[in-house]
Amino acid sequence: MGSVLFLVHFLFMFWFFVGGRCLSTLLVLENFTLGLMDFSFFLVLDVLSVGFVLFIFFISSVVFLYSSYYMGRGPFEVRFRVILLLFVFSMSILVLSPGMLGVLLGWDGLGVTSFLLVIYYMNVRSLRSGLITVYTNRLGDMFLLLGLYFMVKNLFSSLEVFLSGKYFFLFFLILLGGMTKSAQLPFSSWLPAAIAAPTPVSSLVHSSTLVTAGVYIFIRYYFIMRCLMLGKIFCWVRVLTRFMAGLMAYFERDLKKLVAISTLRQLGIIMFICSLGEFSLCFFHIVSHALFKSLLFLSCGGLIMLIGGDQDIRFMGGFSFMLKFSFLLVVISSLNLVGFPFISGFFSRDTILELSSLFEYNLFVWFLFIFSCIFSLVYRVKLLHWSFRVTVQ
Amino acid sequence: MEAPVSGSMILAGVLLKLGSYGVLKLLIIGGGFVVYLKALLGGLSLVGVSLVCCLRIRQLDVKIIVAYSSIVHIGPVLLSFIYGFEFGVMRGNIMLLSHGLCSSALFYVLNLGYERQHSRRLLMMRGGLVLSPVLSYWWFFLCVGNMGCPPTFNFISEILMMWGLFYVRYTFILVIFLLGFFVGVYCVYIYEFFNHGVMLFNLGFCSIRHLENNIIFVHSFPILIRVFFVGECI
Repeated sequence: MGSVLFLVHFLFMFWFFVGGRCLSTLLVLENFTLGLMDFSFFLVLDVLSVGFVLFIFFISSVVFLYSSYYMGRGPFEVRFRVILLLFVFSMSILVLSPGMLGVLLGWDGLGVTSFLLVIYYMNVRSLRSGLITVYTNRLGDMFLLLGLYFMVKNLFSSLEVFLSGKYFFLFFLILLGGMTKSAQLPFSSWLPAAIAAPTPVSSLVHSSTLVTAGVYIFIRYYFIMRCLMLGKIFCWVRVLTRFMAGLMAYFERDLKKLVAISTLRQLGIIMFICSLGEFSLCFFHIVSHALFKSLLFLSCGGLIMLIGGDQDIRFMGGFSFMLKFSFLLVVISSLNLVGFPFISGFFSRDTILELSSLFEYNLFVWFLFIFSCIFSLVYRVKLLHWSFRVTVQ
Repeated sequence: MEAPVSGSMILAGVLLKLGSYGVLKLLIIGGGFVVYLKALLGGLSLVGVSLVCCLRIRQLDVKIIVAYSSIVHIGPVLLSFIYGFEFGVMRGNIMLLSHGLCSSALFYVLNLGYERQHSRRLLMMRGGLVLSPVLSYWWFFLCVGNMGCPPTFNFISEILMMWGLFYVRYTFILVIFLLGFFVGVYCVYIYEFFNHGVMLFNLGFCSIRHLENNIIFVHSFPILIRVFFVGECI
C-alpha cells in the first residue's frame, strides 16, 4: 500500500514539474441537474491543488510505511489501513475538487473517518476524545453544508449582488466551518483530544490532512477573505488561539499533547497570515509545517514506543545517549518549529513575522502575536530539556 | 414501536411513505385550500421536529431512538411538500426513498442485537466490534447513511432538502442547522454505544449468519448505488 502511494506520488511529481507551472485544467463529470442545483463533479488541477496533493501523498506514503512497523501485525491491521486510506482519499478529493459536491464529499468523509481512527484503540479515553472530535466536526460540517449554498447555480447573477443581499451571512458560515476544521479558538478543544489516536494517524491529521482542510478552503475561496474584510475581524481569533495554546503548552506534561498544542499554534500563524490576505505565503507555511510536524510526530512516536508507551515527559531523559538518531530528528524539527535560520521553517515564519508588522491593524493583536512567538521558543527549549537531559529519573 | 421486527420495518419503510403520499394527494386535490394552512402545518412540523431532536438524545431504548429518527426525517418532507412546489415534491420523494431503505435496515440490524441480547437497552450492549466486526460494519454504514454522509444516497437527499428549504425561506436555517447537527449526534451516539466501550454482558454473542447479512446487503446496496443514478430516479 505504501508502494502504491509512492508510485502515485512520483507520477504526480513528474506531471507537476514537467507539465508546466502555470497549467490549470478543469475536468467536468456531468452528474445531474435539479432545478437550480447543478450536481456535476469536477476536478481542478492547478498549482495549488496538485502541489497540495503531492505533499499529502508524500507524507501519507511515509506514514503508511511507518505504520506497518508501528502498528505491528495485529488481527485488525487491514481495517486500520483501509480506514487510513479512506481518510487520505477523502482529503485528496477535497483538495482536487473544490466544487459543491466534491467539497462536501471530502469534508464529511474526513469527519467520519477521523472519528473511526481516533477510536481505533478500544478504551474509554480514546472513545471520549473521539466523541469530542466527531461532534465538533459535525458542527463544522453543518456550517459548511449551509454555507456552500452560495454555489447553487443561477441563483445570483454575480458576486456583488450576493454580497449586498441578505445572504451575506453564508460567507460567515463558511468562515465558521473552516475555523472548526482548523481548530480555531471556540472550536479548538478537539485537536488536543484527538491525540488519543495511534501515532501514525496523529502525524497525518496534524500535519497535512485534517487541520489544513479549513485553511485550504480559505485559500480556495479567497474572495471571502479578500472582499469583505472579514479577515481583519478574525485576526483576533487567530492570535488568541495562538496565545492560549502557548499558555496551555507551558503547563502540559504529556509529550504527544505538547506536539499537538504546537500544531494549534502553527495553525494560529497560518490562519493569521491567511486572514491578512497573503495566500501564497500561507500555502508555503502549510507545506513546510506539514513536513516538519509529521517528522516530529513520527520521531516522538518512536520514542514513546521504545520506552514502553509512557507519554509523561517528567519520566523521560537521557535520550541523547541512547537514541542518537531520534534525538537528531526531534532537534531538527524543533529548530524548524522555532524558525532557526536557513531551514524551511525559518523562511516561512520569518517572512510571516516581517509581513505581519507591515499591515494595518490593532497594535494589541501584534503584541500578542510577538509574545506568543517568545512562548514558542521557551516551551520548545523546555521540551528538549525535559526529554533529552542527562540525568535519568 | 412494540411491534415485532417485520412490523417495524414495514412501518418505517412503507407506512410512513403512504402517509406522506396521502398528504401529497391532499395537496393536489385541495391545493387552493392548503395555502391558508401553510403556516400552521409548517410551524407544527418545525416545532415537532425540534422537540423530537432534543428529546431523542436522552432515550435509552434504541428502538425509540430509531423511531424518532423517522419523525425527524419525515418532518422536513412534509414541510417541503407544502412549501416547495414542484421541486419540493421531488426533494420529498428522494428523501422518502432513501430514508425508507435506511431506517428499515436500521430496524433490522437493531433486532439482530436484540435477538442475541434480549434487551434493547443501550447500556447493556457495548463492545460489539470485538465480537462481530461484520455487524459492526453494517452498523457504521447505516448510521452514517442515516446521518447523511457522502457515499450514500441519503447525502444527496439531505443536501437537496436543506438547500431547498433554505431557498424557500432563509429563516428556516436555524431549524435546519439544529436538525442536521442532532441527527449526526445521535447516529454517532448509537454507533459508538453498540460497538465501542467496555463490554459488559455480551458473552453470549455470536456473529451474524449469511441470511441476515444478505438481508442487510439488499437494503444497503441501493443506498450506495443510487448515488450515480439520481438523475434517473427523479
